[in-house]
Amino acid sequence: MTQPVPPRTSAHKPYLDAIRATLQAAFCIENFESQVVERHNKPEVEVKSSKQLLLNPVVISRNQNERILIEGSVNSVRISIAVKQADDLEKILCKRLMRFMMQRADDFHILRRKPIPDYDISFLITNFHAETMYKHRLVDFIIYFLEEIDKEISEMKLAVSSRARMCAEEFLKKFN
Amino acid sequence: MTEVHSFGNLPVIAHAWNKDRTQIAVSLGKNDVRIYHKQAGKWKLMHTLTEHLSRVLAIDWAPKTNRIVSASADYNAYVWTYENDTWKPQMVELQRTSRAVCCAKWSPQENKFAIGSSDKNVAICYYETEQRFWAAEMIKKKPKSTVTCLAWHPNNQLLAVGSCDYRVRIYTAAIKAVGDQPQPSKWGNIANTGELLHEFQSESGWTHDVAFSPSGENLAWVSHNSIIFAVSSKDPSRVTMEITKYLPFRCILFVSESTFIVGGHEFSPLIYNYDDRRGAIEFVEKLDQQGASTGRQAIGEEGEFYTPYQASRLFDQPSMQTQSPEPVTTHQSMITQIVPYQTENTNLSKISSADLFGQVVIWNLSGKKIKT
Repeated sequence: MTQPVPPRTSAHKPYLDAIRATLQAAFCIENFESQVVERHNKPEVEVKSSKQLLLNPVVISRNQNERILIEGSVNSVRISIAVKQADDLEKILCKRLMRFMMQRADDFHILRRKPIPDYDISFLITNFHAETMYKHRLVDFIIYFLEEIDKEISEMKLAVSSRARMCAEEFLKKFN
Repeated sequence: MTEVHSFGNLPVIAHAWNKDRTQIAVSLGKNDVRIYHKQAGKWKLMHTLTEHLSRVLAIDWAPKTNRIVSASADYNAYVWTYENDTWKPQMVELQRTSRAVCCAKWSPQENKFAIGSSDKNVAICYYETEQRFWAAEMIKKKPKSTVTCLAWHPNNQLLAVGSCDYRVRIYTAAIKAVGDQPQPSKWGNIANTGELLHEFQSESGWTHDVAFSPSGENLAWVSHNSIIFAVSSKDPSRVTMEITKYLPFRCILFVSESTFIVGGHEFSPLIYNYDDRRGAIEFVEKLDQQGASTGRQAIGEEGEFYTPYQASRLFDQPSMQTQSPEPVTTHQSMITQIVPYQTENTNLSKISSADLFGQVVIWNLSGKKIKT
């Protein structure tokens, strides 16, 4: 028999494990028709029509700047992510990237068009999504998203700085 | 061994078998009830009952009288009778129901049925023979929230109701118009219709399903906080709780007097034993033995190293490294309903469970440790 392969260890692992466990519990959603309006089926976490249908919101944070808010209810889950933004350049890049994705929220299916105040991006997952998509895959996707977003922003920052340096070099060559 | 039947990729919201288990009525998340007939080992669509205007939420098939009751989100319920090779609908007169009807169940003698709805109403419906329509009698002391589940006591006169206000209630459901003689029962004296006999609290979890044992002595229910509750009529004030470490269950069914099966978000039905003398609920086993080794749904069982099987999964999707192993269970999504399939000497020998990905699985219970 071959040796077992050690999993990827990263500094984020306890943070991501906590998020994974919470999401697995929060994704236990089912169909629920509206009690308030006839013939309507609304995501209760958005409408908040009665308190007994909502679960306690949970915030998991690594530090002040990196947080994730998970609000559950009987038929929907809302996940809001605050991305780490260390300086002004990262703030601009993050805002642009999130806006790019949120403008295409219809095709994204689970993305919410506007983030919850205080957070950068929000997902809204309803029982209809759970009926067509695997639950464990949705959890994996959210975790993957969290890991990748930091990488993408730092890559873009690197690209911006190197391009700025090249432009400055070319410009200053004229004065040599 | 288990049989797996697949109805496409649509969620099976509700399913019900006919008397000899050759036909199955399913609600696939659309506005109709589909009846499939088993011919030569394959399921063929025989009838489509389209009368509802919204999603059909509950179906129940009365085996002896061969009638189907279907309840839907358009606040209507229909009773279908089979005449001349077609199913004819008859609307149930639910005057004051203005929200979706979430559950419907025939009583054990099939002369009446109960429905629960999102506007907190529970109604017991019977056939008014002089005026030839289905009349409904509402229960006056209503639950405070959506009624999610119903269960009839085997004596045809008591009804257990679970709702989203975290409570389970037992009501009397004897209807004089159908000729029910109120009988004394261990849960309390039955005088009129709609009396609240008992109310049990679930400690802040929505009640997902409730079930009576075959003799009616024990009552058990499951709620969203992953707790199974059970109470015996010998001592209704003592409710036994079992806090499970699994994800919440959505359905419960008694197999014998003290053994029941639960299923839900854990993707596999589990067998539990209820001992009312000692006041304990014990876990017996998981019905789906494949999920034991690699499919891990229960929280808090992360191992340190992955086996080569799981490592190969990590490599076969280089763009997205999935760190949770695929659930290796027969059901790949939430179990919506568990229904009895075959009975043998007052114990259930086979049950069928339906899930959200169009699968109906029939489990064989012979050989499992079931206490009578």
